[in-house]
Parts: sequence; C-alpha cells; structure tokens
Amino acid sequence: MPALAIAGRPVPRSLAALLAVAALAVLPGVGTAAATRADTVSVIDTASGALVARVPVGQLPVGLAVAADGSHVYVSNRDSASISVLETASNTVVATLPVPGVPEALALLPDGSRLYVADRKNATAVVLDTASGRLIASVALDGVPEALAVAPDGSMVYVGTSARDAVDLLDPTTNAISSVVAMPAAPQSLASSTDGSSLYVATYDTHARRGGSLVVLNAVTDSISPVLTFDTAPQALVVAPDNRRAFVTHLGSVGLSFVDLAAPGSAMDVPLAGLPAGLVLVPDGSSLYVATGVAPSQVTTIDATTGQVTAGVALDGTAQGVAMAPDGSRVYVAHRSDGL
Amino acid sequence: MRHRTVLPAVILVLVSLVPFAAYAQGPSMDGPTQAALTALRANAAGMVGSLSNNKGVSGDQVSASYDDQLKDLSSQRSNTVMVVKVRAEQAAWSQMDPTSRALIKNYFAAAH
Repeated sequence: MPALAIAGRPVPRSLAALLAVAALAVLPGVGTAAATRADTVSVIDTASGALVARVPVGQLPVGLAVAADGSHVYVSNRDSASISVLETASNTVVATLPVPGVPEALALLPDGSRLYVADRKNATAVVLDTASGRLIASVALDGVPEALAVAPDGSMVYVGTSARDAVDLLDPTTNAISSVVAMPAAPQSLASSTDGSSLYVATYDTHARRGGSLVVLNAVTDSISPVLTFDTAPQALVVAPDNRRAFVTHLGSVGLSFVDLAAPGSAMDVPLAGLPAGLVLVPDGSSLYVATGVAPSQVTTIDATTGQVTAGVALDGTAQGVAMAPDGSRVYVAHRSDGL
Repeated sequence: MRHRTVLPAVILVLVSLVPFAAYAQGPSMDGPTQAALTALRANAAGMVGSLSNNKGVSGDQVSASYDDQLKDLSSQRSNTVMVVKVRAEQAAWSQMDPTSRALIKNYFAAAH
C-alpha cells in the first residue's frame, strides 16, 4: 500500500495526520461537524436565464424533489439531518423536518403525499407524510441508498443501492421491499420511462473504481437488459419524454453522453467544463441543464439535440444537486456556500 | 469517453474501495481530491473501532497501513488489518459527501 505522497515525496506520518485533521475541518460530513455555512438553493428563471433567488436552507443541501404541482421543493440537508420545505411562490422555507441519519436522494409520489428520503448512514429509505411532516416508516434496504425514482403512476418506488449492487423495489402501499433486483454494478442514478414500463439504471463499478453501464429494468418482469457500457464513471441519468434517448454524465473523462436507446452504440459525447453534480431535462425534452460542482460551479444549458452549450449561470460555492419545476420555468440548484 | 454495446453477461463484483492502489500511480492530484482522499482515510481509521467484528484492529493500525508501516506485524495479522480496513473504508465512503465522492471517483476513473 503506497504511503501518502505529495509531489512524489512521501509525507511523514505526523504531517499526514495534520493534513487529515485539516481535511476533516474543511470537508462536510466527514468525521467532525462542519462549520456553520449559509448554504442555499439557487432559483434560476429558465426564460431569462437569470438567478432570481437564493434561499437559505440547512447545512450541505444535496437532494431536491419538486412537487408535481410545482408548489414546493423539498431539499435534503446532509449535515443538518433535515428536510427544508421551500415554498416556490415566495421562495422561502416554510418548514424544516428532522430526519435520521445522512439524508441525500429524495423522491415524491406523483400526488405529493409521500416523500422518500435516502438515508446513507442507516441504509434505510425514510418515508415522510408531507401533509403532517411526520415520519411514517423507515424501510431497511439491501445496501447504501444511492438513488431514488418513483414509477409515473406511483405504484412503485425504486431505490438503487450499493454494497450489494441492486435496485430495491419498495411498495408504497405497504412500505415494504417487495423485490430486490441484482445489478451488474452499483446504481448511481435511476430514471423511469414515461409509461413506467422501464427503469433505466446508470451503474458504477466500485470494485474497479472506473467503468459502468446503462441497463434497463423491465418493470413488469423485474428482468434487466444491458444497454451500453462505459469506461468512465457514469453518474446522473435522465431519459427523454419520448423514451428514445437517455443522457448520462460521467466522471473520469468528464462529459455528457447522448444515448440513442434504439442504437446505443452511436452515442454522442459532449465535454463538460466542471465536475457534474446533477442533470435535468426540460419537460419538452429540448434542453438539458447540467450543474457542475467544482471547477467551475455553474449551471450550463445544453441543446438536447445538437449538444451545443446555449447558456450558463455561475454559482457561488459548490453545486450539489439540481431539479426542474414541472412546467420547466425554474431550475433549482442546491449548493454549499463555500468551495472545496 | 469510450463506450460499447454491452455483452449479455451480468458480472457480480465484490464491492471494495481498497486498495487505493492507483493512488501514487495516476495523474497528478489536485488539492481538493488530495483532501478528500486524506479525509476518507482518516475517517476510515476513526470508524474502525465502531465496526462490529473488527477483530481488534485499531485506528492506528489502519492509519499505519496507509504508510506501509505494518512490517512489524505477522503476515496473518497484516492481512486481517487489510480486510477490516476495507470495511472501514466502505463505512467512511458511504457517509462522505457527494462532491468528495465525485472527486475521488473522478481521480480513479481518469487514472488508468
């Protein structure tokens, strides 16, 4: 096992320990409590491209979920162990709901009645009643929850888990896992087709620490079929409303792939300027918004047909996640207020 | 980024974040990535004590393993430290923030 080294020179253990303490002081959620920051959700008007609001939320906001009627945005705050409920009409937080563990990914039932929270610390899916804010269930998972998705008709909640690399099928009527479908590698992102017949899964090979694949899970048979493999580290995934194309961000060779689901071997690649933190598609499928968290932190608008960058909005700090209003009028970006 | 149509075989792999063997072999590491890796290792050392069935492995032994300082241990004990360290790193990784995870993934995905 190689020693810690800087510029090719081994670092003495005493200095390594000092570096570790320093790193713990600046990295959130790792070891020590993070210092209080003014972390926010930025609201971008898609028509004008302007940043119209910065809404203070909890510490280290990461996950976002927008109600189907667009009235509220739910924000998971990792370091606060809470959910901020943002009212979109006023761009203010109207409630803060405590949750256990380390909350990250979020998903809502289509009727907005239930919010599902991925708790990485306890390897559970926490179920909140959005009307009362009460925690009504904590569902043990097969591994660490990495991603969530809900079937368009609300009949199933999908949880991508690492450690055992699977998609857990959570029945929202019983709050129990009804099935576990093994994946070829750790799921990173999930996207349902608009008719709910297919769930697309972007996976990352944590063993090799590179590479992954796009697979499709048949929602009727629970069988999986391969679509495409990647030599990079796939991250975020969205599927176009016509179910003909998928868009996948990558680490390693940082970029965005346009995948023709009918002919996946002919995927088009678009380079990205920074480390991708999230990806959303406008409702008509014409444009993508990519949030990059590091070098630089910004939201970039990309034409979903040509791959051309058409606009960009710079952000302070480090973007962590992104979501789109159902009518496409707003993009919401969760970010910590400082850089790394 | 290269991609290819996948072969119709599902390969189940064991999940492991260790060893970070490419650590000193890949492209130069920027400051944030270096800090993320250092924090991951420190946190793994800090969490080993709370692991069930940690076989008596200490945080100091996990830290020492990163500095190649397990020479005084028997090979059997060294192996035990390395096995437990994998679990400690998995626990530390699962609680790391997304940007730090992305920095580390980005480094290793670009390292070969």
